[in-house]
Amino acid sequence: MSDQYRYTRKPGLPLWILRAFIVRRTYDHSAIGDLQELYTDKVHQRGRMHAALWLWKQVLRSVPSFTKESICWGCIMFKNYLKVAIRNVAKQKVYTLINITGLALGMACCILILLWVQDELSYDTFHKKGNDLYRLVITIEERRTASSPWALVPTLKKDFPEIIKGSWYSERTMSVRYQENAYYEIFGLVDPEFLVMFTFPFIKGDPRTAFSSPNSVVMTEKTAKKYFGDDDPIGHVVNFDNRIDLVVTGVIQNIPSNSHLQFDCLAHPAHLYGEQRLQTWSSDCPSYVMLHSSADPEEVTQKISGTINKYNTSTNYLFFVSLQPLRKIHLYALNGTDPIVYVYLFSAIAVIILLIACINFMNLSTARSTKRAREVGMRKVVGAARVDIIRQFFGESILLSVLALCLAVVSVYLILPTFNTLASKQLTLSAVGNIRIVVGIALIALFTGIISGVYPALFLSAFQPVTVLQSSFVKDSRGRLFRKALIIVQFTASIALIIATTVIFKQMNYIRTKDLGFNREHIITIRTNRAIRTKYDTIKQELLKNKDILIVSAASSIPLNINNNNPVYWEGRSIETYERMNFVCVDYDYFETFGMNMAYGRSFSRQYATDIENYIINESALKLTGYEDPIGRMFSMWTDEGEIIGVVKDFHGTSLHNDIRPIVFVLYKNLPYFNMFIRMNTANMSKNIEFVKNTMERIVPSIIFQYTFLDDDFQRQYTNEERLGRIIEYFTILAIFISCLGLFGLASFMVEQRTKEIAIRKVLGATHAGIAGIFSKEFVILIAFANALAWPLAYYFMNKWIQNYRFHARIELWLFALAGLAALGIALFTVSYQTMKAARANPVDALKYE
Amino acid sequence: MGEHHAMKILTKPEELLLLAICNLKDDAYGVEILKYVSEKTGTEWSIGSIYVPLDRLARLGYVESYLGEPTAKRGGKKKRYFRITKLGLKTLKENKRVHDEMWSEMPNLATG
Repeated sequence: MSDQYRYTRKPGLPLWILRAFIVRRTYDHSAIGDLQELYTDKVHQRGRMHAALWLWKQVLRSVPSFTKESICWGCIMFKNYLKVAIRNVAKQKVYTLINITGLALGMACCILILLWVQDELSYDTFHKKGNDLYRLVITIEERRTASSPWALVPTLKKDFPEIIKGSWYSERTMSVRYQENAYYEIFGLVDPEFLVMFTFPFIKGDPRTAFSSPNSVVMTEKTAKKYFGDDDPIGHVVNFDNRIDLVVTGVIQNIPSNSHLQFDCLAHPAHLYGEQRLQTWSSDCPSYVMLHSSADPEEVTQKISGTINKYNTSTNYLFFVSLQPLRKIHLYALNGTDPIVYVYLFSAIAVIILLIACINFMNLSTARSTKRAREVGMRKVVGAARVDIIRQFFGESILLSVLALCLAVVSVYLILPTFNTLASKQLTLSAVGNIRIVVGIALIALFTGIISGVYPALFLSAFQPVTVLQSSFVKDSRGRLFRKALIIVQFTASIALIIATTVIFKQMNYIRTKDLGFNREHIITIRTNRAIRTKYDTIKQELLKNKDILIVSAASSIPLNINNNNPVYWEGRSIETYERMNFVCVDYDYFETFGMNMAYGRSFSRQYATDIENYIINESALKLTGYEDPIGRMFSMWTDEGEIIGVVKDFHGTSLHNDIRPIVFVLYKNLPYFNMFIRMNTANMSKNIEFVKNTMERIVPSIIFQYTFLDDDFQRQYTNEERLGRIIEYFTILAIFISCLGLFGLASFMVEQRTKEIAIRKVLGATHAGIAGIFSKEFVILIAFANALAWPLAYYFMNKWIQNYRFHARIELWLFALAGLAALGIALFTVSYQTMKAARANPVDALKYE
Repeated sequence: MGEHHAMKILTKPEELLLLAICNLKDDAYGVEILKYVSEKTGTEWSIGSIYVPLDRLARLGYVESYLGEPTAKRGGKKKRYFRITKLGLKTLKENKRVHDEMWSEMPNLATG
């Protein structure tokens, strides 16, 4: 007997599967028992192997008939479940509204973020040969840059057979003129191979021959339309940079927004720089290569790593060449924070918000469970198994989440244009051709249904019919504790989000108001081209005749973005032992225009003819040289030795993410491109700008007048952060709103449950305030707990974030206190409606009954 | 119960199962029924093909069931014995009558 018993224990899995398919619980034990009996006999007759095979066959053959049966029954029960669910929804309008609104908002957030994430991840994925395309990355002293020498790509192609194609991509804003139409366009200066490597489909022309003659230009559809309207652009001649004529040989489709390369026109760089420059080893522009599909990028990186130092022996620095896959360019930064962090961050926020909404659902359904306890009891009495009840409640939560989904999709549809402006994206909700979005949305609904349904389903289905049917009260202490824990989770998330938002806001404010060491207000920057450059002195004289134009200067780069660097040396060093420093070629009056102060010496002056050979450095550069008395000491950039005539106080020449770096200033010597800066009187700004425009157009008739305000340029450096900050801000508000929705529902439930208690308290002399206090106290405690959890959490993450800025605001304690108080205030305000209603109720109404 | 009263038609598996339950008398539970019909028909019936029709028969009130003793061999699960009801027996007989009547009216296929 015991021997037999051992056998019968074995076949667990197949029987378990079978049981899952049998809907009529009354029979399952007998059916399973029968199978087990037959199995045992078979083991004795034919051996275990045979018996197991037989059993599996039995199970597989039985499943279809049982399934058919269960579907049939499922339909019958579904009708009943649906009826009960609809009655519940209709009976408890407030709860349903809270649930559906919360879930819909949560889902809408998720869908928006899903669209956003999907777009971020889709960057540069449309290139057919994308898997073989890489950007060259140069590492110099731990700093990585995408700027590589012109000569690098041709050399790599020559030396390494694995690299089959390559191109520079030098981006320049240049003027284009066709008849009376003249605009600045963004040019990608590229090798003819660029067109074959990247998939920018041609509408007209042929990618293989578009650059076969040197004076060719390829335009995007949008750009071509601007110049030629509906005419066929092919063969038309446009004037480039007021210098040479280019023939349009191709029109390509507009660049998709999810391309990190964004340009209006493509041309060959030889026009601009001359063939000679293309042979040099000075770092200038990003370059891309295409590997043979069988090549191993790791191996190739190993091989090409030392190429620059091999050919360019005049440098003391070690340059390492490496490859960055095209598809990683958008999401992985060369230095600093990878944008993919924001993808993770936003996804996390989406999940948190959805969870908060799910928690509402869980809390409200378990809180109301007492009301449905009898239904569960009755169902069980007439033969429902626990699984049936679980299925029923899951069904209800999925039904609600599907309803919420419909609402969510509609609201996403409505809010998408606003979100697009906010996020500066072109997202669409078109399901056509975007199966991933559809699947994603379906998963969100399913996830919501399951997460929010699982606890109520298990909780409610566990009721014992005898208990719930016999007594009029259902004890619910376990549920109450669980609900409290969930509220703490909700508010922890909300408070942490409030803190995050405030820190971001504070940092943005810090950036806005930060003293950069120079005055950036009331200055306009004018882009110039060669024509303006040659007439610069005349323009300056003419402009200054107007008393509202205070000062005019020019420089090779705007003071917000000083990036070029050159080798420098000073006393005790030589061209062999140089340092690299950033440099700016400036006009006279540069420091005066920006109100930069001199720490030592003087600024460039026309009174000293030799200033053309002399240098001004900033304090950081001074520190590097180690000079105690810098004025008059030797300094040299490249090999042009001169004297230091002044030291300017440090200012922020790049974004606040970075340290202040050493900078050298020289009077400009024939730099072809530069920016003009004009400081003007604040009164009559528009009139002044009009004057500048007229003057410049008079002197240089071919000019395309374009200007920006310097403080706008400054702000633009941080648009991405500002944008993300604002998105997070909105999501925070949503998270709090959804949390409060849940709290409101729960408070109303608690008040309802304790109506009699309140009445008795009032009869015995409790005041309104006293009663409101009893309810508020509970929530105050919960939110205190939430604060205790949220503070360290938020501090940890926000501290990490803010460290990305070399210059940042301090994270202060009052921020946390403020967030905590805000959450408390909002929560109490939400609950107050219910508590006040309870406190004000007439006790007679509550007690007269029975 | 006139001549023209609509007959309650049993499917072949239902008919066979009812017959098996009658013939097995007090021994009519899952395993025996399965063995019996498998033996008679010469094909192996699956447990699903027994219980799904049995379930329908029970719902129609043609059979009733009661629980027997659990055995260790069955993993401690009770046997469910089936018994035909009066209504079941009547329906079975009616089916047989219609069956026989229709067979008797069939022309001899061999002779035409």
